[in-house]
Amino acid sequence: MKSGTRTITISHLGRIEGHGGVFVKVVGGSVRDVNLDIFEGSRYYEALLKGKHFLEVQGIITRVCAICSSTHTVAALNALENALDVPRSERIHRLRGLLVLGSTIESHALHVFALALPDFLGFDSVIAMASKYRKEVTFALRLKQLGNRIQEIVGGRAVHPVNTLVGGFGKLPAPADLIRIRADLAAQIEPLMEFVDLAARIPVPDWSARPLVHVALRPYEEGFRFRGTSLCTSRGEEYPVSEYREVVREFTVEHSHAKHAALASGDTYVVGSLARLRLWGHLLTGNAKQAFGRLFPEGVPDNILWNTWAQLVETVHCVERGIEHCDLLLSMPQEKSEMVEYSVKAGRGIGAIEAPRGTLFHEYEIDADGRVLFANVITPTAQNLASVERDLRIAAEHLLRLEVEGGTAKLKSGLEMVARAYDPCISCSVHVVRLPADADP
Amino acid sequence: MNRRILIVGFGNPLAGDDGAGPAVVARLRGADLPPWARVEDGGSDSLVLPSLHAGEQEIWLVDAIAGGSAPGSIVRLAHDEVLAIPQPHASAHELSLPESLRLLNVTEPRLAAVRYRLWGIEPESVAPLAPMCEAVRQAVEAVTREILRAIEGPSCLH
Repeated sequence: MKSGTRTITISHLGRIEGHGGVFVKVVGGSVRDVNLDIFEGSRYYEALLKGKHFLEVQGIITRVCAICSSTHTVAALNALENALDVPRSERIHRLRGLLVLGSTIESHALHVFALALPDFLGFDSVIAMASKYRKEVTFALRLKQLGNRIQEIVGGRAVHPVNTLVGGFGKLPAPADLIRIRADLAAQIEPLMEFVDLAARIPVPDWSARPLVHVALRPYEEGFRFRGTSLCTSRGEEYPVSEYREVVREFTVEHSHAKHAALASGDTYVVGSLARLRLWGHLLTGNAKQAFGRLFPEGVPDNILWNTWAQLVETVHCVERGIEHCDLLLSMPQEKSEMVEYSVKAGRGIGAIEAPRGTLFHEYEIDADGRVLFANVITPTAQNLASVERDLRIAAEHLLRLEVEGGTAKLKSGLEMVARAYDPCISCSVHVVRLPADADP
Repeated sequence: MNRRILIVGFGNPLAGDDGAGPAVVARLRGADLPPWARVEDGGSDSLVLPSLHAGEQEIWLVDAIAGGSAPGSIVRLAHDEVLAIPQPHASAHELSLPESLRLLNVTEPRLAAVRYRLWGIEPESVAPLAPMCEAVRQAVEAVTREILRAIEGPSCLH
């Protein structure tokens, strides 16, 4: 096993043929190269947006990703409204918050239970896992459906929302729908906390542990929130979102179709649930606070494999926060729609939001006729790529030292587990069924 | 029980030939469908199916399908053939359509009784911003016509 050269390839991280995968080259038992190459669709959307009227942006940007469509939508709308100086009413703020919570519940439920958990429990797939944990898998899919339903009621569609517009909402949710959502959310807390107890008994490997710099938005108010106005690091630095392009330095690497990112200091960093809990976990309340204490009794470790449990804590938070939003929305006077009046003018605006996978930036410049002159989208996955590569190297070296039983296959599954822990969003903007002759090896 | 059909097109209209599914959906929406048939755009998330399903006994799927054939080739798969496609993940954070259907069969009793049919259209390019190629355009028209005929034809439940 120690002699010779071998290359470990994990090709199904990406969906588009020839664009995506992990490549680890091992020479004489040592890791020589670790390359992660992905196809990052959002870059192409920036080009598509240029020259379009700003009212077309939402319909285009929502197609960047199925799972993150609502968070892309809210980030884009916030950026455009900032460019146009459009004020946001309390109702619009709450409804967008509920939309983001629905999207996060959907995304986390899918990742925690269907994609990451089989890794932790030693199953090849979620279907194999369902044979033993059918109740848990069924619960997870129903939870995902609830996330979709929230997006349908607020955003007009279960995926790729259409009801969210610059200046407000075309149609407001009916009170009966909000009451039903509230009841459904409340019904999730007990089974979620039961799952927290189960998760607390599952060991998390330390293959990829290394010092990490965590980055997340400072919540806009005292509380655990997914929206904010400044960017904070676990080293104590803080920058206004308006300076994000100075803080987040994007750069190209030879082996990747996607840009990587680092802080101005050159350090790589991580965004996402683990980073949010590291920076703002102390602001959690209610059952989410309990879940945080139960799963992270000694604080948030520098090990991305804990990201899955961080997502679980956030899921509890999203459910409880969703109930708060429903209560507040139900207390408001009943209206059919809510649109703020505004004038079209030239301007530039930034929208930053904590998407399920981490901090997401949208920036647009529009001219006096409302045409998009400039568009910039920096996704959480792009920001995490350099860290994923570092973690994969650490994990590969660790697993090689262990001379794990199962050889390359075991090493491959271990590396896949690390990559998957980041919950990367890779070329997810297409939907292709692959017949066996075309399937990944 | 009266026959009810849900037709779902999957794909991204901004990603070249991946937009075949939504293109068929758009054409069907413009057609005069009978009351027992309903059309939905599933976007890029297979697991959205339970949210779209409203008790129909048949779900007909339209999607891009990569099988190594010429662009625009149409693959027609029956229930068991769709579920037997071995593709597991679609990406690091999504299940493939066949895997999603297999999973929903286990976890959603109301969907376990559903019979699926799939029309797959072989893409040339699914790159963002790529135009839909002519062969896929023609296939979209052909699949739309086939579905309209099939709606009036015998149920796949028999």
